[in-house]
Amino acid sequence: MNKINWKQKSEILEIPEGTKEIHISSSKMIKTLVFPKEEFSCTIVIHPHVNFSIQSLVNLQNVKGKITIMSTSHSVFQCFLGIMAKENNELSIWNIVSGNENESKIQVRVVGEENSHTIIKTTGHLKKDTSHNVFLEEVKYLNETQSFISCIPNLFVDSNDVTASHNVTIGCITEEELFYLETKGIERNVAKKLIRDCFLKKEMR
Amino acid sequence: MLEIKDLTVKIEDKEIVKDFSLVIEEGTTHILMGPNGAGKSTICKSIMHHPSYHISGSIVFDGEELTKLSTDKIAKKKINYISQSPMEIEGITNAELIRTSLLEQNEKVNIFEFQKNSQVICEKLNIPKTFLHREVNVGMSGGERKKNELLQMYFLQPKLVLLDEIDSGLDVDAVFLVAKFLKEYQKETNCAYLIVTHGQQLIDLLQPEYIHIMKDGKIVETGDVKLAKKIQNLGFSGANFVSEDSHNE
Repeated sequence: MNKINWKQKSEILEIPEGTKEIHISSSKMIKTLVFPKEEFSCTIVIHPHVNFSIQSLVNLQNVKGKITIMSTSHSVFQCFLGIMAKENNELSIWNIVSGNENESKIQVRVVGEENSHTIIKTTGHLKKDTSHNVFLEEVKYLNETQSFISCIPNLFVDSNDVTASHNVTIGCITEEELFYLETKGIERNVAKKLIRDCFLKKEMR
Repeated sequence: MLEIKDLTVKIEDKEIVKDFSLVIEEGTTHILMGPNGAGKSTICKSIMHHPSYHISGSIVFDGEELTKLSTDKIAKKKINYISQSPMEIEGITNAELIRTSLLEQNEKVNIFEFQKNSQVICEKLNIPKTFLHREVNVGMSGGERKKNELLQMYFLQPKLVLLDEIDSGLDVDAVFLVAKFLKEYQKETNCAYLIVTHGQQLIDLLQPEYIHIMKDGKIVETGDVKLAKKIQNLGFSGANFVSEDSHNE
């Protein structure tokens, strides 16, 4: 299976193994995104005048792959991912904007489980001779426990008519935050879990 | 209810509180006053077993020693602490915090009762009902944070409440409202308050049974509301409080 037209009404997008291209020809919102177990490289093409949104909590466990989103023209792409990373992962999210008047927003939040090792690359590429595009990428991660997370935001802008920004923020759970929650009767480990869970879900609210 | 005996608190090697003793009975209100740095806030945090403090002496609540318990276990004994500058907790809503806290205390959460109560409490505190769904203290003014903490307090139903400068950052009308809220809650539950404050307005409104003056980490005088009036007129230095240590010297 190399190329599919995604016409399902389901809010679950489970990328089938071996898929090279997925075409989104009508507006939709995905609430659950599932990556293939095998190494993958898949392109999602958003057709003109389509609003495509992904708002999903994702469990990454030994995932290695690249997902490329092609924004054509007059499309809206919103991607809010809350990633709980386990073991070893390498995920690359590319957004290539090849036409005019597209809006893209990629917001990723990552928490790593103990002893996990995760690399997240987010890349925006705004091609030459395009105009009136807006692009935003934002990665936040909680640096705690014995986990390794590396977030690499890239932005390639070949056009003069664009509004683009990208940033990475690293946060940690402070002793004062834990003390505050403990004074409300919440046990330390439950407090940590609450902070982690809410951190991942925040952009989806 | 609460008996603090010979409490000494150190942060690293610095002694902040020395031989502090206090008894609080249920249904009573105790005000802790004193110059800046006297150790008033330290008392509240020590009761909650703040991890930075090295504590000796004893703190007994309803017959149980608190100094050996973790902070969450102390809170589960129905002791609530409201700090002078409540923290912002990004991502967690008040409703999530209250729900988690109640579940941790094995209390069932009745969603209909919760909704009904929240409307009443928000009206009493003059805050929108949406506060419950806002992230804890995020983007709130100083006064809103204090009201937000009182909102949480109501749902957690404490027997003893430690309020560290609850009136700071509140305008005159808000102090009226907070005092009324505290009095009603005390009438309803017979809880006790230990309140750190510099504000005469709050004292006048609450009419507490006890005023304690702290100096150099210990209580140097205890009285009633007249003592607060004396401080208001003379100041802490003018009232010339002398600790027992100074007498002995």
